[in-house]
Amino acid sequence: MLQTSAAGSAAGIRRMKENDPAGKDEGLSKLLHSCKTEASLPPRFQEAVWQRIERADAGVPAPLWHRVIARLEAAFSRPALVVSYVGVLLFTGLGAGYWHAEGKNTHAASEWRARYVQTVDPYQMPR
Amino acid sequence: MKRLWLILLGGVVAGLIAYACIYLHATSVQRSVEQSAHPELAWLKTEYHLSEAQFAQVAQLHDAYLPKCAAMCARIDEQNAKVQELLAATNAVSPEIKEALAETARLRAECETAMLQHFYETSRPMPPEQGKRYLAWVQSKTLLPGQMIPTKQPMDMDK
Repeated sequence: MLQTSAAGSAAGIRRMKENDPAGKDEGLSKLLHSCKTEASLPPRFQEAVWQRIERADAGVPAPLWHRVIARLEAAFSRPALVVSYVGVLLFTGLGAGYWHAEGKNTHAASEWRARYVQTVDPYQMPR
Repeated sequence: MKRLWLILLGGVVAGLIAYACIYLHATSVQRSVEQSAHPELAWLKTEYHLSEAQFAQVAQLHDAYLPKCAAMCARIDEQNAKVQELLAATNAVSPEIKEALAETARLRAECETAMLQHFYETSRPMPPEQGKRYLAWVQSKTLLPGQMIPTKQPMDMDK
């Protein structure tokens, strides 16, 4: 499988070289060589890559959470879905806050009424 | 990957902030009432739409009534103790018990009259409609706590 894809890549490069006008390829090579990146690879990057290759070769499916994350990443690549997600949580927060505050206000109001009655009625005054 | 976590956490944080904002806003009146001088009275102001002057009058009447109410409490406690003592001493209705029970009833009538007087005085500074509402509510909670509320349809007694 690796051999097939390597052969395919070589053929592709050959075609590109044939299409490219002479001289331009060299310039591109120089430009690529001059490019230096300072970013470091994440820890155990190579090991993870080999694991993925082995898993793909063996036909073993990726763990569930990998697939979930991949799906979420794919879904959140659409801005509309990101806006919907944030909007739903925003409105849920608003609703929950309002509902909780209403409950607390109702409870406090009934407590104040009871306290008022206790202060004016000697038969209900706590002793 | 970083972007995904940023979106997921960003949504949760936005929800929490929305929750906190609406909760704090909706409970602001309640918090201000709790911090007021008379939290047990402050609700009257919002419930019966009292102006500052009307509320000040109501608070003044309330403060003047409290010592009278405390004195009535002391008399009720004293009378209750007396009745309990008499009841514990005998197993028949003696003239002393009759007299003590009559005194308890007189005391209750006196206390309720004083209470009613205070409720009428409290309702006067209120707007007329609100005063009526206040009287109906406070009387149902104090003088008529066990009164049954009539239903629209009378109960069918034949069944």
